[in-house]
Amino acid sequence: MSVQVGPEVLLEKEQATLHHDERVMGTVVSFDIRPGTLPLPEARRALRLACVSLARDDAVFSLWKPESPMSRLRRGELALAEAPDVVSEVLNRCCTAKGLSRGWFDPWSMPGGLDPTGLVKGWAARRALDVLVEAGVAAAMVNAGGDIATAGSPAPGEPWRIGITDPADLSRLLCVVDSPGAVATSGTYERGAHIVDPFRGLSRARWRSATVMGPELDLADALATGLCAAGAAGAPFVLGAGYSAIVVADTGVARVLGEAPIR
Amino acid sequence: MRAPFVIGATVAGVAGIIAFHPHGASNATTFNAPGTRAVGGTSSNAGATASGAPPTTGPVPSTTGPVPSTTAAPPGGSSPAPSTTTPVTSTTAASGTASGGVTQYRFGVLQVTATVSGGRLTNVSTQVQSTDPRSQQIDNAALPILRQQALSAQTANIQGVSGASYTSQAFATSLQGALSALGFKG
Repeated sequence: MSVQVGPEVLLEKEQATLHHDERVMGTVVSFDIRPGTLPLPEARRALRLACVSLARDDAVFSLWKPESPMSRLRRGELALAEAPDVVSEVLNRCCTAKGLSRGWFDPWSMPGGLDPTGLVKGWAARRALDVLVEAGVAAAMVNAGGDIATAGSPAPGEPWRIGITDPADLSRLLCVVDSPGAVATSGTYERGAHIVDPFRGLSRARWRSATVMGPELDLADALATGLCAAGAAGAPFVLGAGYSAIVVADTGVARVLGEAPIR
Repeated sequence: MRAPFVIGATVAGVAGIIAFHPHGASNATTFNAPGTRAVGGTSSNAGATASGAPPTTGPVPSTTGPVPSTTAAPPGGSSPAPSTTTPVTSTTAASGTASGGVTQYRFGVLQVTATVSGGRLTNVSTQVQSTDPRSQQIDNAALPILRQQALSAQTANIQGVSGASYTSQAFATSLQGALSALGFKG
């Protein structure tokens, strides 16, 4: 039996897939889409709209673009009331993340001023995923530089399976998890120090890497950043927020916090 | 201005797709937090392949054909077209050679070329262009391992990779693109 999907004929059980890599937000965002019953042309259209969403959010929030509203807000050239509505939305999410992380994720304590970067990538990826879901795709994964948002199942009864990179050996995976919707990793390996202790203003990471899993990628992203800075002290706030984590210490020892969906 | 230079590495070998194996983590305890347990040992499903892992500059061939992008087309579109393509419904006995997208990572770009024969990955080569001397050390260490990983397993068990790793994700992304172009499924 075959199912007619646009101009292409797909065998039953052969899920059509769309894969696309979009260079945006200083990284590459990969899309993996299972259109399901949505005709492929519509799935492709949704993919284009999702890329537009990423580009728009990048234009607003990029701190590498001096003219972006976020950069201007940071310099005091733009009032919050004059900024696009999404700026307030992101700052509200930052506020939520700061509370959940008990202050360990704090965009207001970053060197150089307000910096929501630790949450924005996950937030924008989640919005891009929402565009696809609202268009009616059966399942999709958006991987924003290693921070992953998923919806649906890539195959009947199958979860999205995500490998977690082993920071001690980048050619290996530490483990494989079933995505609960969001998987975000923060760490200092390869990218150098970009973790800040908000209480001391120091560039400091207590975990070599921290992967946080849960329902929402913007919060997972922020909690991973906070957990890296907080070290062992971060376990209670991650669990309290309803998320789980896999952390790797500088010694190479890996620990699981909470009920991580490890396969 | 930093001029890119080719540091190497055309590697040849045999493979299916990348398989990663979890470490047996040490049993040392670093802290006692509620609900913690050690990772490792019991982690099953080690065979894993990375797909859709960033960063990438070039479009990775899709099993369903190129995806049109009306916005923000990736710059530096230097990705060569795969030399062989197979329709999406091909499930067995894929054969041919294809290159994945030219994939950016922290220190440059790399591109993986895969050869599949009789449904098995039989050859993987990597071309690297680095923009940073530090990359030579990393590439020299990582790429042979990645290639060996690809050689040693023939299954694709994961859809994505979460991590701050650039080299392995770039390698995986480009290889996945090459294999997709060949209609190869581990």
